Amino acid sequence: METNEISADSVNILLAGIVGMLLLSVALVVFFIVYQRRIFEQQRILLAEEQAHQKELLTAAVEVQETERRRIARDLHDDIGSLLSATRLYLRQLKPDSSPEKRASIQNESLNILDEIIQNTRRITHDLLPPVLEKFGYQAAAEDLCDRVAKSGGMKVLFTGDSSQRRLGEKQEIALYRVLQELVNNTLKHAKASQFEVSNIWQGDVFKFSYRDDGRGFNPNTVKSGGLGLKNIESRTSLVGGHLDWKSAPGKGLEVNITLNNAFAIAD
Amino acid sequence: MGIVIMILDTQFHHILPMIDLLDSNFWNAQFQSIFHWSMLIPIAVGIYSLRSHNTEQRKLFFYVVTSFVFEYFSQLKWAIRQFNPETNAPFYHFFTPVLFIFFVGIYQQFLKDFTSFRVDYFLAIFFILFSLWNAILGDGILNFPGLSLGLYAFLMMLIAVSFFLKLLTALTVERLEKEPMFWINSGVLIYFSGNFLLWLTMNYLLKDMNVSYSIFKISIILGLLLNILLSIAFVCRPKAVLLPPTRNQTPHGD
Repeated sequence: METNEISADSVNILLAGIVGMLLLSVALVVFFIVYQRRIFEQQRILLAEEQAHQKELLTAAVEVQETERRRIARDLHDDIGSLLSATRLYLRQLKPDSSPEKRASIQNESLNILDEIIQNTRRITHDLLPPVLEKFGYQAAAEDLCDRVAKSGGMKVLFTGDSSQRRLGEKQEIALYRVLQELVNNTLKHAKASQFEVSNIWQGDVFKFSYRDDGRGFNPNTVKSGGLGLKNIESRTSLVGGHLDWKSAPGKGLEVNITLNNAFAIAD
Repeated sequence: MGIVIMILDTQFHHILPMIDLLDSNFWNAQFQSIFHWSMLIPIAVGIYSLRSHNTEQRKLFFYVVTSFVFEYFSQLKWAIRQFNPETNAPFYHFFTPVLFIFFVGIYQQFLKDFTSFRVDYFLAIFFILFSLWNAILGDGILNFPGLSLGLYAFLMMLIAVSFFLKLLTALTVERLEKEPMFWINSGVLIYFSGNFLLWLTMNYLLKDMNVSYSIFKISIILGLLLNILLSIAFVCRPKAVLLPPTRNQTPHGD
């Protein structure tokens, strides 16, 4: 039964619409497949870069640990070891028939050396983990460190601490103190700076640490990823869930900003 | 002058209008029955892989079995003779919301993740109400449910496109060919995109049985394609996602 009520034009328009929608849907499926693969490829590249970066941080952490061990070994060998040997030599001179004057002299010398050994041991242990850090926290330890550097007379130090008695988590405090030690050490050794500035502020639950020196600075592009020291700082910061941001340029000194969320401290 | 779709006919080396191609002898009388038989393919594959079905595959299996039963029931002469004039349109008024609910069930997890609002229930209720309205006041119970099927196709296209967008943003599936929902979604998008305008205009096309029969062959081809893609969806083995152990558990237990 043919009624001829449908014009050829309307059929053609309908067919064009159907074919158009079909092509569009097929194109959408193809686009999805291609685009999804491209995104995954980019993700794979990003993941590989992230893994390489993590590997670099780990290598830096291990290298720093080895350097620290060598330093402790050197300190023990050069300071404590040599002083103990000297004490041994003095004490060997003690004979049953030694004169009382000689005995007294040996005793005095030995006691002097033992005092020096005690002082050096205190210094070494203080460097490893300052008692003030354990007892009074990061801010007190940081202030103490800055104070000692300032008193040494070589450099002007500006320290700004937070007035609140609020403390970070234990791991965060140690990590941040090590970061400060590393930064101060770098400034003293390499920066040729006349002053450095340390600032610690609580903003809500976020702790903001800022370090700035007026040294010679460096070009971040020529120093590979900021060198071992900055890698170590990055490694320590990321381990305690902090965020590190630093900038430097030749003649412009170094500026380091670290933010730590106290939510992480609760999990310590 | 209207738009004329041209398709290259390689057998005769000249260009034919598409409607002529659809009318040509290539599509013989057995064409529709091929489609009906093809509905058995996903059922057979579904039964073959029954033991390894995940939630979506299980729901899909119920869908293919139900749509097969519905399709055959609507073609029964006895069923058609129940109405005056003889028609199977009332069955489609009933089947359409049922099949839509099946699809909503298949996409349920995606729809749940998409929004906290229970959009699956909303869609199902909304579509049932619309189908009721269409059967009573819209197309009418004795006419082809063009509006319901048009809305069905539109909603399914919307869900399918949203699903692809979600996959692109979430990036949870890397091996698409191993993911049943990818094949289901591709089939759904292509099938409903091709049928959308056809179903919407079917009541108009039915004024000329020859033209409507010719154009309806597109729907049959798309149905064949859908059956193939749904069959592939049954044989896919999605990669197991290994969840990290919880804090209180060790590989040896608590």
